[in-house]
Amino acid sequence: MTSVLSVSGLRFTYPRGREPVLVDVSAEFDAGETVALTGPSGRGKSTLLYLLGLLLTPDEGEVEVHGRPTSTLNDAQRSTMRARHMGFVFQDAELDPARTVLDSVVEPALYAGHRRRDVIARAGELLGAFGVEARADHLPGQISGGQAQRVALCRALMNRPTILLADEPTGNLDRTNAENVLDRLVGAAKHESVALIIATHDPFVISRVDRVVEL
Amino acid sequence: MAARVPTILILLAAAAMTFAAAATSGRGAALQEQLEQRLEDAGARVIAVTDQGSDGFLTPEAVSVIADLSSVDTVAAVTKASTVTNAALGWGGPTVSAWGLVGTSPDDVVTLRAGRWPEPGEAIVSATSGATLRMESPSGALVTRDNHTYAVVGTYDAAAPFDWLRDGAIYVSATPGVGEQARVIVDDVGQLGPTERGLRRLLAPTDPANLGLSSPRDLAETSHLVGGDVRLAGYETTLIVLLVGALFVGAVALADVLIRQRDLGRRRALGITRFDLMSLIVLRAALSTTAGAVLGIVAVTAFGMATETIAPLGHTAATATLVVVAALVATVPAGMVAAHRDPVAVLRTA
Repeated sequence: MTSVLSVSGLRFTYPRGREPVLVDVSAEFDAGETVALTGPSGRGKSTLLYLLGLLLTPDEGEVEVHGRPTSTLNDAQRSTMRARHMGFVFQDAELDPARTVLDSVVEPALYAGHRRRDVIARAGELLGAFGVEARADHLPGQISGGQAQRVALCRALMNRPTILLADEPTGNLDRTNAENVLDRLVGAAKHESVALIIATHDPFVISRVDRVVEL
Repeated sequence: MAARVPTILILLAAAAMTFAAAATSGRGAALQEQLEQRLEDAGARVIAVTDQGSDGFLTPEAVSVIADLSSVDTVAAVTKASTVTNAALGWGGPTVSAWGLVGTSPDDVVTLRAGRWPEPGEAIVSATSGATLRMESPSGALVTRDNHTYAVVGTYDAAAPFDWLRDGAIYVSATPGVGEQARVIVDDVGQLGPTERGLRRLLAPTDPANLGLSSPRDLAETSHLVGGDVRLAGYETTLIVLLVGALFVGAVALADVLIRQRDLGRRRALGITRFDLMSLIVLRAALSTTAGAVLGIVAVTAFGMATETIAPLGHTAATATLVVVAALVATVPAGMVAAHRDPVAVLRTA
C-alpha cells in the first residue's frame, strides 16, 4: 500500500474556541483504503476531514499530500491541490440549484483549469456509471435525494482524485439509498485506488470500511 | 428566481444611479455648454471702442497694431457717420448714413451681395439703403454734405457684430482718415478683460475720458461663475448619488454573499481559489452594473429628449462609467468576505 495522505501531530483550535478540538492527531491513509473517522459529536470528525482537505490550517502539525508538506502552501496552491487530488462528498449533495446535473459534475474540473468541452465526455461516463445519465439535463430540484447524492459522487470523482473525503455522505438518505450510495462510494474507491475517508457515526458505514479511526 | 434578485437589484440600482447622476449633473453640464456656446458667439466677444472727444487716437496705424494683438480675432474701425445722398437725385432726395473704413478691409465687416469691393474713392451700399436711395443696381454715386463723391460699386449685407451698418453705406477714403469708433472681436470671452487693458495702454488718448470701452465682460464673467457653480452643484449631486448607490450595491452584494455562503463554501471545497471566488463576485456585479448603466443611459436620453435638455453624450458616458466603477468598488468588500468566509462553518456536520 502507498500512503497518499498523512497527518502528524495535528492540533487545531477554532478561532473562537477555548479548547483545541484536535490534539496530537497522527494518521496515514493509503491508496484504495477505506477509513471511517468516528467518535461522539464534537470530537472533531468533520474538523479532521476538512484539515485533511486543506480547507482548514492546523495550529500545529503537518498534512502531507503524496508526501508533500502543505503547511507552507498559499491559498492558490492549496486550492489547486484540492481540486486535482481530492474529491468531496457532503452530507447534503450541495448541488448548485442553477446548474444542470451535467454541469454540476463538470464544476470541479473548471476549478482545476480544464475547459468544459474537454471534460464533458468524462462527466457523461460518470453519470452513466452511477445510473443517473438520464437526469443529465435536469436541475437538482428535479431529482430525488438519492440521485442527488449519486450526482455528488460523480462530481467528487470528476478530476480522478486520489483522495475522497466524505462527511456523513449517507446521513440524509433512507437505508436503501444509503446502501446504494455507500456501495458505489466504496466500489469507486477500490476500483480507482482512491483513499476514501468518511467522517461518520453510522454503524452501517463503519461496518463497510477497511479501518476505523476513533476520535 | 431568488438567486436573481440581487442581480436584478444591482442592475436597477446602477440604472437609477446613472439616471439620477446624469439627469442632474448632465442638465447642469448641458446648461453650461449652452451658456458657453452663446458666450463664444461673436456678439459676446466684442469690445466697442469709441473716441468720445474727437481725440484722433483711432488711426489706421493704431487699428493695424490692434489687429496684430494675439487675443484679437478681427478689428474694424470707421469714421464718424456722414450723411450722404444719391448724387443723381441731389439733396432733395433721401439720405442715409455712411461710414469711412479706417485701416480696415471691407470684407472684414460685411458680405458682398452684388458688384465688387470698393477701391479708394468708392463706396458700397447696404441692400436696404440702395432701395432707400433708389439705386436699382449697385451703380451711381454718393455725395456728402461737404461734396465728396464716392462711386457706388456694390451692395452688401451686414451681420452681427456689424449689423448696425445694415442701414447705410461704407466707403474707402482716398486719404487716410481717423476713426470715431471700432469693434474689436477677441478670440474668446476670457480675453475681454486683458484685451481691454491692452487697448487702454495702446491707444493712449490725451484725455483718458475720451476713450470709451464697453464689452459684455462683466456679463461673461458672471455667466462663467454661474456656470461653474451649476457644474459644481452637479458634481456634488453626482458624488452623493454615487456614494448612496454604491452603499446600496455593496449592501446587496454582501447580503447575497451571506445568503449564498453554502454555495460559496461548496465552491471552495471543490477547489476554487479565494482570488477566483472574489473575482466571481465582482464579475457578476460588473455584468449587472454595466447592464444597469446602459439602461440608465437609455432612460436619461429619453428623459432628455422629452424635456429638450439632452446632456452631452460624453458627460453621460463618463457618469455611467463612474457608476460602474463605484459599484464595482462597493462589491469588493463583499467579494473579500466571500473569499475569506470559513467554508467549513457552513459545510461541516456535527
